[in-house]
Amino acid sequence: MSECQNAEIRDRLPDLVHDGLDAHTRAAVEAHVEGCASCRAELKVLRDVRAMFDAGTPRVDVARIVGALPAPARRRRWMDWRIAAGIAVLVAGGGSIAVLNRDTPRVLPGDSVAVAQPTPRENPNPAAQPVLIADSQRANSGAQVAVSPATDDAARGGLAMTGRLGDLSEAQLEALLKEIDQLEAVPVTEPGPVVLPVSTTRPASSRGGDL
Amino acid sequence: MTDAARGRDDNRDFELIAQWKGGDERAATELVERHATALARFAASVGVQSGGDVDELVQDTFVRAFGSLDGFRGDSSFRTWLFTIQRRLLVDRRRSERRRKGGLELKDDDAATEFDALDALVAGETAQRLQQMMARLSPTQREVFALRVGEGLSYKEIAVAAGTTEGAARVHYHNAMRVVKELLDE
Repeated sequence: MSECQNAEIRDRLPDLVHDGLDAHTRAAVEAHVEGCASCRAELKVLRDVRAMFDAGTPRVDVARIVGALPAPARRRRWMDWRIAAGIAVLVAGGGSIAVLNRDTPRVLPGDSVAVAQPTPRENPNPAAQPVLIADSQRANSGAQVAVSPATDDAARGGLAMTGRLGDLSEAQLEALLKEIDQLEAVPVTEPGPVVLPVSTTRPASSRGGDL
Repeated sequence: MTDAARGRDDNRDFELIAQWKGGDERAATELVERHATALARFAASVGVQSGGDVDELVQDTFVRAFGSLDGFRGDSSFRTWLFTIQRRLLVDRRRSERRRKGGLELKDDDAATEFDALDALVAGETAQRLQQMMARLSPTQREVFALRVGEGLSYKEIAVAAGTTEGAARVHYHNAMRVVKELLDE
């Protein structure tokens, strides 16, 4: 059988098989095919081959494919933000804990100051017993309090960990809280001896509004 | 599928892509459901062995596509874009196989894998007939014929997917058709 010379119609035959022609073109192609044995034969071949392709199509596991896909960019950004926030919280929290653990109360108001020390069981060294510093030991103006460095264990334990707050009277605690409220920031503590200026009476300039 | 219906189909793809980009992961499921079978059919028709290889290829195609969806500008349909990606993966795989075997480099045109004669022997009658037919075609003819007859892509879409021109795609199709008819007449 000789091939049909109408290339335009033959080009359209696969579209006819796939129902890809508009009504007008479809009618024209079908009219041609009806009168053309070569195109009818070719159309049959195309339909058979398409059926073979369909029959040989392997099944695919959609769920597995979807499971392997990357997350959408927006979700990735959201996840990145959450991870970053989580890291920030951990860093901030960890930092705070580290500071709190290192930051023993070097300076306390009141008549005497209890400095965190290890319990005898933790450190039997008698030199590391609690140190009491009386106000009388302070200088007259802007008294300075020298505090012996706490041992490592004590430094790690901190004030709250040693339970020494129980040694303070209510008045002392109140004064302590008031003093803490007036602090602008938590001072950085160093491992060596710390000398901090402490005033029992506040200078006139700090009273505010009296000038 | 008419041009109008295909346009609606493409629009649905673009909607789903936008939804997925907006964080809706369910849209990915629908996109995969809409196109996975066509990709598997194309893979099988150009000689990728059914089973694990087709599964893997289709999955890799989607993973690659979704990983670079931000770069998809919609110049072609999503389906055509998927076929383009799949064909590139086929080229890469074929090259790797050749390198492993110490053979010659493949040209980009030679994307499809060759049919395995043993596979044809064990396949069913229909599949065997199809494989014999496709085995007579050049790799490029196979691709063009499979995309045109199996998937109903236009020559323009085939040109994009196969990295050729519309005219060349048309010639490849008609040459392939001639070979197929000769075989079926035998």
